[in-house]
Amino acid sequence: MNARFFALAPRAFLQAAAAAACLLLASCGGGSGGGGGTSAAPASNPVIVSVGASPTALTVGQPTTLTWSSSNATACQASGAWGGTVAVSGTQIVTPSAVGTFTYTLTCNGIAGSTSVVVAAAPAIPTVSLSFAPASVQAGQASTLSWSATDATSCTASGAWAGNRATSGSLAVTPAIAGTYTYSLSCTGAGGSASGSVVLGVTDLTGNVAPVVIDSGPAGVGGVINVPFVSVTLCTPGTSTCQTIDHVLLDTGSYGLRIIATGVLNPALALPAVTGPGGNPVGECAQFVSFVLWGSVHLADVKIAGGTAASLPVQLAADAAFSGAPSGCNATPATVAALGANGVLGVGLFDRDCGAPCATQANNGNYYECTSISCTGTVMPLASQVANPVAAFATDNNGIALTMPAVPQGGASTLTGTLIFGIDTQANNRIGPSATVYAADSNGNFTTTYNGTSLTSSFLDSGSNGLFFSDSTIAQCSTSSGFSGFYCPVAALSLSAVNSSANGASGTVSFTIVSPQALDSSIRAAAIGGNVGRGFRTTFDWGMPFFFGRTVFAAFNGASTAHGAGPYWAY
Amino acid sequence: MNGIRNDARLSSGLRKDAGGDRLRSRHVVGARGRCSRAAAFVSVLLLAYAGASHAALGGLPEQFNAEGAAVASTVSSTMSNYVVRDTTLTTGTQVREYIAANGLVFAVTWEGPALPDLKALLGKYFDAMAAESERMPRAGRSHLGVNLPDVVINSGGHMRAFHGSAWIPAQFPAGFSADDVR
Repeated sequence: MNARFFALAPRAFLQAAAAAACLLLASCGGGSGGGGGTSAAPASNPVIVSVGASPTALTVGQPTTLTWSSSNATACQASGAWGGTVAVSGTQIVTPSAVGTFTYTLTCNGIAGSTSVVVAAAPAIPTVSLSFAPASVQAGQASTLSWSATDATSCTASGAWAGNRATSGSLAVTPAIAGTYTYSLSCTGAGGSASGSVVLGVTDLTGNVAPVVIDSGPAGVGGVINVPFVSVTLCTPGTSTCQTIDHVLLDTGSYGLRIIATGVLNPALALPAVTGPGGNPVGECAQFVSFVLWGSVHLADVKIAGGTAASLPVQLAADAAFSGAPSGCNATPATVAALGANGVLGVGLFDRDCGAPCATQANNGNYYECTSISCTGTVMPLASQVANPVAAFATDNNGIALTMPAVPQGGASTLTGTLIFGIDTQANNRIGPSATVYAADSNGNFTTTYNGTSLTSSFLDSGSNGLFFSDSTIAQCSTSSGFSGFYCPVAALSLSAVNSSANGASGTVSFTIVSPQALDSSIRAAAIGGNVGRGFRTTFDWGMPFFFGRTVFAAFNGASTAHGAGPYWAY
Repeated sequence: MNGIRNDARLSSGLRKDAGGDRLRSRHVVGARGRCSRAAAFVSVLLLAYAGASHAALGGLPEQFNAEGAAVASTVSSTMSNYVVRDTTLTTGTQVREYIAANGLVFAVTWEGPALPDLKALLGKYFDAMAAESERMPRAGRSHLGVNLPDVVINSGGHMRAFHGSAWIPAQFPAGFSADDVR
């Protein structure tokens, strides 16, 4: 916009045309230059002053150009929003410094003209801030990127991330490979654009300690309780093509790593298939108490914290590219929602999931060789069986220690502990003098005596989400409660049992049972229990609540430790 | 989908069993005198078994076709109104069936390194267990308990060492209780 205002001396108005002619002739001015605004022009040569600004509507900080001219003037003085002596014509760039209306007046030979500009508040320039918490992690561990932009309407990510982003948000990132990752964000708004970046440092995994968390589980899973999770990194064997998978169930009651393939595993890993004696791909029907996973067997380099198991057989459940489950394998739907986890990491007492029976029996119920037509039971050499990754590490491979903090009676909404590799191999995994070693039998069990009954197939199982034992005097939860199979005592129960084993060890365990119905819905860790079955009194299943407030060691079958050969439990 | 394949397997398995020695059964009669009718009862049982068209809890005794072969099977009785049939599967897992005088299984237990084919062993009650497994909103992957008016199922243990039991309370013989399922 350009507006121009003319101010003419009234008496000279009718002579404007003549004045213009005089200007062209450059012969009619008079008086001396440099005078004040008071000098008068000769009446015969009317003074005409014109002042304009472009633009006249501004925002704070934006310049505008003043243009002025005069006719028959000999001296011009600026006033109002500007000042000083100025030429009789010219231009000047001015930048009003605040919100408001600014009037620029020019007085030449007593004749004044002016122009005004209106200055509005400037739309703020966007700002962008990003941060990582923590700012540095080990490979495979999560850090949360938080970002927010002000005065922006859209943001675009670049660098280690990409795509359009909201103007604020957070994102958990879990880099699998060590390095420096720059996350940049550029945001645009009415006031312009701005960009920012933040660097996440990822160091190589070191050490024999992996974090364990009890929380609400992976996305899409609701309402789990007492489920411990770890992150596991799978790599194409011998390469740095890797994927870190979070929320893998840490299970001391099984052996070997199983991952839900569909929707979790990155197909780009292209893990090589394990074949059976007949040269065909191998499928496994992995049995758990409350579910059965059917899937193919592949090789991967498995990394957990600083430990690496090279070319380890792992099971890919729900492998869409693989054969369906054979009859006799009553596989349950293998989804993240159904399992409550992205996979299962079995780090219990054995190094293979089946062992000798599958190495000698074709009808072992576990391993099948599959053609494009059908799957047939097959013997599976030990070396090809799905294996406990920790037992395959180069060091710290004779067992594990699981340490969890104590949980108050009302439960905890989250709980963080540690999984330590090795027993008596490092300063951080020694069995202390207060701990007792309980030898396990060939099934991985010891004896628990509860209410005078000797339960000879008892075990410690982080993958059991409660303490499961038989006591007909404890009220069971109703079927309609959604907790059938669990105990719902009216008030918290204080109980005790005695654990003993073939090596002569014996010790009393005091424990508490609370009703799952009494817990707040946000609770993810609590001392709950359930019925192991009235008709089968051989077992006390010491599930996850047993681990609260303890360090529990599991020495692998056949491995040697400073406290003797496995298999044993110690706590 | 699974069920259809299962049926096909069962019918082919019957032919195998008719052929002879894949499943060896023998009976042991205990507490002679107290249970004088046991021997005749076992004979009825074996006749029923030979003509079995299906096998499961609530039905005729299992034939363990999915397991390929059973190493040994033993029928024993200490009471007059039911017998106990113990079968060791090739996986090493032991299955015990409690069979009433009508030849129908009213309770089962299992224990060993591998789960038996629970779909075959539990018959129509397998679906109740599967439904319970899916229903558990804050549980799962640990212990499984089904406590319904018509069936009780408990499955426990861990990889390499499973155990469980199931029974139909309404079909218990006179004098039998859940505490007798061992």
